Amino acid sequence: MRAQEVAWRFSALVCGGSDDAEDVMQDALLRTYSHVGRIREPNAFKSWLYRTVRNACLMKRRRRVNEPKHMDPIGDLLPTPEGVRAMQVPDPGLGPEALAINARLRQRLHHALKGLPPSYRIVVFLRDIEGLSTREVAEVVATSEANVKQRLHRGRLFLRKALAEPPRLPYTAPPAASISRSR
Amino acid sequence: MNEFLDGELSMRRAETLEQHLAGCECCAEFAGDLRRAIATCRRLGRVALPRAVQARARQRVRDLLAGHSRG
Repeated sequence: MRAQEVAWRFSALVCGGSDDAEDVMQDALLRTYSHVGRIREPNAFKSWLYRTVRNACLMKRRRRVNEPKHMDPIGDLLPTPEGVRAMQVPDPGLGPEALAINARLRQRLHHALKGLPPSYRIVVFLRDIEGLSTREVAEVVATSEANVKQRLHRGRLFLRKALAEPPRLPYTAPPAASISRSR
Repeated sequence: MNEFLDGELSMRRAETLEQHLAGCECCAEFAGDLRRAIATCRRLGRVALPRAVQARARQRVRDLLAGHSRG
C-alpha cells in the first residue's frame, strides 16, 4: 500500500474531487511523514492513514458546503416487481473492446460517488473500492459495524440507481440552418 | 442481501437466500444489479495519482523536512 496513492484516491473521491483534493492529500501526507515512526503495526498504519486523510478532509470540508442538494427517499431505491426491470446496472466488461465502455462507466461511477451523501460515500469508498473489511471501515469512520452495514446498504442502493440511469447527454443547440427553415 | 453479496452470511442463511433468488425474478435481478454495482466499484473505482500531483506532494514534504533540519 502506497500512502500517496491512498491519500490521493481518498481525497479525489471522498472529499468531492474538487480543487481541494490536492491540498487534502498533501496535508495528510505531511502528518503521515511526521508520525509514521511511532506506528509499529502495519495493520495499525493502514487504519491510521485512512483516519488521517479523513480528518484532513473534514478540516477542509468545514470551510465549505459539500452536501448533495437532493436525496432520493430510500423507499424509492428498493426493488418492486414493476420497477426492477427499469434499472439495469451495466456490467464492467473484459477485453480490449470493453475499454471505451469501461471509460464511460468509470466516469459515471465517479459522478455517482460524488452524488452520494458524504456519510455513505466514505463507507462505499472504503469497503467497495479500497477493500477494507467492515470492522476496518468502522475503525476508520469511528462508528459501529452495524452502522457501517446500514450506510453501505443505503450507499449501494443509491449507486445502483445512479449507475442504472442512462447518462444525461449535454444539450446541443440545433444547427442554424434548421432554425431558419422552421421560421 | 449485502451480507450475502459480501460472503458474510452464514451458510444456512445463504442457502435459504439462494433458494429464494432462484424462484424470484425480481429479487434475482436486484441482487444482480447490486453485484454489478459492487464489481464496478472494485474494477473501475480507483483513480490514478497524476504524476504532477505526486511530484508537487514530494516537493512539499522535502521542503518541510528541509525546514525541520534547518530549524
